[in-house]
Amino acid sequence: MRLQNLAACASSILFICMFAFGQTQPSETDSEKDKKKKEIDERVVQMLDQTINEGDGLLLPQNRALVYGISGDLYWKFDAKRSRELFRKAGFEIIAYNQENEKEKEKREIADAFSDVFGSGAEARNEILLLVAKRDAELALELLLMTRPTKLADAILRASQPNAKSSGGGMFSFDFDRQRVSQELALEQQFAMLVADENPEKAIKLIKDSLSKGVSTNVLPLLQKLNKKDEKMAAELAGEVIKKLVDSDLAKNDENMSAAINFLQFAFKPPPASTQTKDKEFSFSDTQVKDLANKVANALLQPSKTMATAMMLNQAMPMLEKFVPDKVLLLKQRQTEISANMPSEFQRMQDQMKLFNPNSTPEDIIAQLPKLNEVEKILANQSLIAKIGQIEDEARAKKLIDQISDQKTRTTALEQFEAARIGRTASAGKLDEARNLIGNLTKKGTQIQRLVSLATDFYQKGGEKDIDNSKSLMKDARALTNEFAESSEDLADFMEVVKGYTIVEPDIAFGMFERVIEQINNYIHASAVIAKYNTRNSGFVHGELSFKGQGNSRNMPLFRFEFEIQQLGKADFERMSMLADKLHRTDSRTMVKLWTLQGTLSDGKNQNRSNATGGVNIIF
Amino acid sequence: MSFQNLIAVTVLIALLFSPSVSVAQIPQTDAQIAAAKKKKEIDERVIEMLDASVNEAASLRLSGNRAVVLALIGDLYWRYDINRSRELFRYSATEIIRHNEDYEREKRDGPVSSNMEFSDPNDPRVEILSLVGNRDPELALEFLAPTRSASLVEAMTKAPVTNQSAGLGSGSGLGSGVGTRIGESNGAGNFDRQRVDQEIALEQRFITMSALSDSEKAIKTIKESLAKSISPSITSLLNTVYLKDEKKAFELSIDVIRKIVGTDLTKNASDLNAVVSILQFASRPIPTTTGKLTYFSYSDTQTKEIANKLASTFLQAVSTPSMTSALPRALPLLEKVLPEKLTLLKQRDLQNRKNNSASNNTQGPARYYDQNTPPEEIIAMAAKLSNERDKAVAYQALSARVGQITDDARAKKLISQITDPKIRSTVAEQYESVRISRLTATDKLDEARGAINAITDKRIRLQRLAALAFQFHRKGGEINRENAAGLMLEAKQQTNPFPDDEDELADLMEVVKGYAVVEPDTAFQLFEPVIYQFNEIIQAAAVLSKYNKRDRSFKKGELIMRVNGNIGGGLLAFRYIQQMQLLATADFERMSVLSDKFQRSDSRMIIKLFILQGYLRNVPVSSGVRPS
Repeated sequence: MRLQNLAACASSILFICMFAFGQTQPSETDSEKDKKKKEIDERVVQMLDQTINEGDGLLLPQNRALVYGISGDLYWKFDAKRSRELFRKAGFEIIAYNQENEKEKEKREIADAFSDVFGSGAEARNEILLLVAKRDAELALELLLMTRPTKLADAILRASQPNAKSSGGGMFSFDFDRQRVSQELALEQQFAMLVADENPEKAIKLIKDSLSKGVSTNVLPLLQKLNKKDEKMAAELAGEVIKKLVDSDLAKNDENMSAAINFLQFAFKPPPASTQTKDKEFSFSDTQVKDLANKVANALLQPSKTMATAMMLNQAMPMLEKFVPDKVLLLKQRQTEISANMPSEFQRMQDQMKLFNPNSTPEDIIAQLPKLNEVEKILANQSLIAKIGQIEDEARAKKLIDQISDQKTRTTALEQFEAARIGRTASAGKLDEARNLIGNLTKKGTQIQRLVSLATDFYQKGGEKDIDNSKSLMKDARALTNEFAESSEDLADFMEVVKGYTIVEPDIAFGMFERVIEQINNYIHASAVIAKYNTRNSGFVHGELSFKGQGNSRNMPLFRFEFEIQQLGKADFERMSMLADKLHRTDSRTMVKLWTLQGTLSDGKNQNRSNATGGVNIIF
Repeated sequence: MSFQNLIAVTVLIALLFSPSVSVAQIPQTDAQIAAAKKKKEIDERVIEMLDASVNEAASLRLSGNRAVVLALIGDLYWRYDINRSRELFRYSATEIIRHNEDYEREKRDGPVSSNMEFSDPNDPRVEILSLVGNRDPELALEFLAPTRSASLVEAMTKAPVTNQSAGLGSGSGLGSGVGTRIGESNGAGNFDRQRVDQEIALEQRFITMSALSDSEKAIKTIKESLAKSISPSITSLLNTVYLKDEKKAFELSIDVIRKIVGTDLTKNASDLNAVVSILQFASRPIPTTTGKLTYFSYSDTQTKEIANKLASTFLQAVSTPSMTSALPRALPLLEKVLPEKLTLLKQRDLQNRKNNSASNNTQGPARYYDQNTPPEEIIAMAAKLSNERDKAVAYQALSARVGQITDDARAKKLISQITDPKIRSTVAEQYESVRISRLTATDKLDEARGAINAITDKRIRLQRLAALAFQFHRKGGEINRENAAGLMLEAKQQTNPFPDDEDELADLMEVVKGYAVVEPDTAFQLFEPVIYQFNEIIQAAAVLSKYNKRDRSFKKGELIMRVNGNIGGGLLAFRYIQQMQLLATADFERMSVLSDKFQRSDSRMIIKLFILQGYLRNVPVSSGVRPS
């Protein structure tokens, strides 16, 4: 027994020792990891500094502003002070851009007074300020004022006058200034909302100041946020917002009318189904809603024959029926009167809009199809394809698809439905079943997307067999691509596979992407040549790639693959940095380095493609 | 003959054959012979180039491009060998059919979004058929049906034939616009209807063109046309008949008047516009040679009948938009023929304008661009606008209208009313530019020269200098030629010989255009380096097109060609075809050599054809030149 106990004890000690030995190993790995992380951090800061230096050499102030703005954002985790400095530097560059822009405009107008009738250059300002706001909302507000162009400040001042009215002439005119004022106020109120996290009182003061210039629908999320902290404070602010609208002349101010209708829609919408949280949802009081509805109804009852009034009346009608039923008869008379004066195309346009209404069912659209002309039919079919793709009931979807007379639309709808079904099956964890379904797809692009998506799903499960499956799926996807892309579709397919390999087998992803770099170089060079001989090209300014260009320039492979570059940066910072150096031009190289850094420093929560906003993807 | 006379004759003969006289005459003959020889050599070279292009066309990837190239060669061959030309046109038609098949297949296999493309944007058919029609309308008619795409045939089967589209097209070949039924718009989305109308108008245009050279056919066409509608081209057909049989032409003209009088012109805008055009012809001064009419003309009574019909139409209780728009055009004609009704018609015109502006309150920019809106009204409307951009749009429309004013005082008064100083200066400059063009065209060259100095816009100044230089050069004489050279030098000094952007390139090419006439050698020197830039642009566009599905410059890596010169969807390098054609006219051989410097075979091929087109347009054909 003793011997037995001794033996047992000895084996226990041995086991414990083994276990202890086993435990010391990870602690060493952690330290290695820490060391490695520190090294990478140092390298990241080094690269950031280097990119900032390269940014100094850029020609365009708006490009420099963007480099400093993004760098400031990336520096935050290392040095908030330096970060703020960079944000301020970005602010000064925005001011330089505003001044340069005004000078250029002046020069153009001297040569031809009509040169800028429809022009409004792309601006990096809002994008940079959003980056600042994510880190320091108060600084963002300060920079918002500091970088506000003189003309915009004047327009805000004009718009805040008691009897300010839209100067647009309805359907056939567009008041650009008014539009810019609305955007600016929305931004201001959005920043104020961020301040509310730290300092609700200050946020309320900021909002009240902002309300004196105009009302933005952005105030709604703020009210909801405030409501969670202090219901009374939120109710008071809501009262002021409604008062501001009720005191204004809605018939003369389209923006206020639009905000008022939005608030009524908010009040009209039933509370969300899942009210599991303890927080009470914000809502306007009945009196506030009634006051606002009365004001809107009275404004719409004023004599006006514009299409804008007709559209607003149609939009507001369901809410007004609910909140001011006593005025419905008069409003309907008014609606009939306005409709009678509207061209027949207007009614048709209204009917057409119903096809794209989120509430209309695919069955509704199919029923409408025979009455539509060629263009409307195509638009309706596109809406139909999207709606069928969302249907989970296979029998209903297939019945609908069978009813589509146009063969191409039918095939696409079926493909879309199948693709969505594969996605749902994979989400439900039935990966093998999903893999089998991919065989039903006929389009190469959709097949590649699904294969890649399934491969990453398998990979995330983590088992040996799953990883093997994942690799095999990626191999299938790659076999479908053209290794030497000949078109934008080829390139998109190829990059889809790169994206998948970034997760499953980064080494292959880097090998593939290296080939794309050469194509990106060729494309940018060709774009620069074309831009040189096209004065209206906003992709390049004074020979430098504009990071905020519009139109086709945003479609160039460089900007289209921002997300993939970020993912590659996340997978292997050093390797992606080396690839970035293969870009020939300083402008594009600087941008790719910033994206690489963004990917490296990202927390991995954002695994989805952003809307190509120059690396900015902020969710408030 | 006396001895003295004999001596005199001998001396005369001796003089005639003396070396001094012979020397004076022989070089002139040699020069003529040499010129003719040179001309013949060039013609042979042209044919050689055309034949080479036929061979090269086979190597083109796009059927549409092969169709364009073969049609252009067929057109250029016409002066040398009509049979060969027709043969080439037939090959071109076959390629159009192939192009249609390719397009239909691509559309069928393309994504759903391609359904939004209602017609083939690269369809070369109408342009090619028009080219064929200008040479041989019968052949164009023969090609019409077989070259229709399946979708067009389907649309034609489905669509009912409307009255207006069944009538004659514009016989002059200047546009084949289809009228719109009064009170009935084509309706957004009714693209098939539009395509069918265009097709029928094209057919009618070829029928008219074909009848213009054959009086029997013309009689038949007039009768068929009158059974359907009223067409402005009926007058041209009447003239064809008139040249052969005056009596028959006048008999037919009675039918035409009967048709006009018996038609309710308020019902169809095309008919109304056609009658205004007929009145325009009927009321023109009649040119005569030795008392005999050289061209068909309506009698005074007939002219009065047409005018009365129009007047009674315009004075009806309700004016439709088409009537409102046609009345201002008809007023000066009616004033000549029916002065007694002028007051009433003017009152109606005023009333129409008032009604129009009341009902168009919301139409903003459309109102500014309406030709019936007087510039004074645009000024008044602009003054009431508070939105700066709307105001600029109004002034932009005004600027175009001011340019049309020939009364200097009125134009200047209008310009002075523009409140924005920058816009005022731009409009003034644009007006001045148009005025200089008018002065140049009316040979007031010194006055134009003085006015150019006041222009501050570089491009306008260059354009005017080059145009003026051309006019001086055309007048001939040593002083005028010196003036021309001086003006061109002044223009040249303001350009950058190595353009850095689109504007600088446009400036330089303006100077090349002037020099191509005034001093071709300088034009060639200026143009040659630009070809390298053109190559760079074409190559860059080819790279970009590869990654852009919606690109209209290239397809399958090949430049998209068009008969009308809009190559590569308006690619910058091809905007200067006029300059290349002028250079070819000045020195065909030199321009041919330069065209070889275009790097891509597709661009080189099409440029060569346009160069040939430019050259052949300006030179007569040599006798005895036949293709090898």
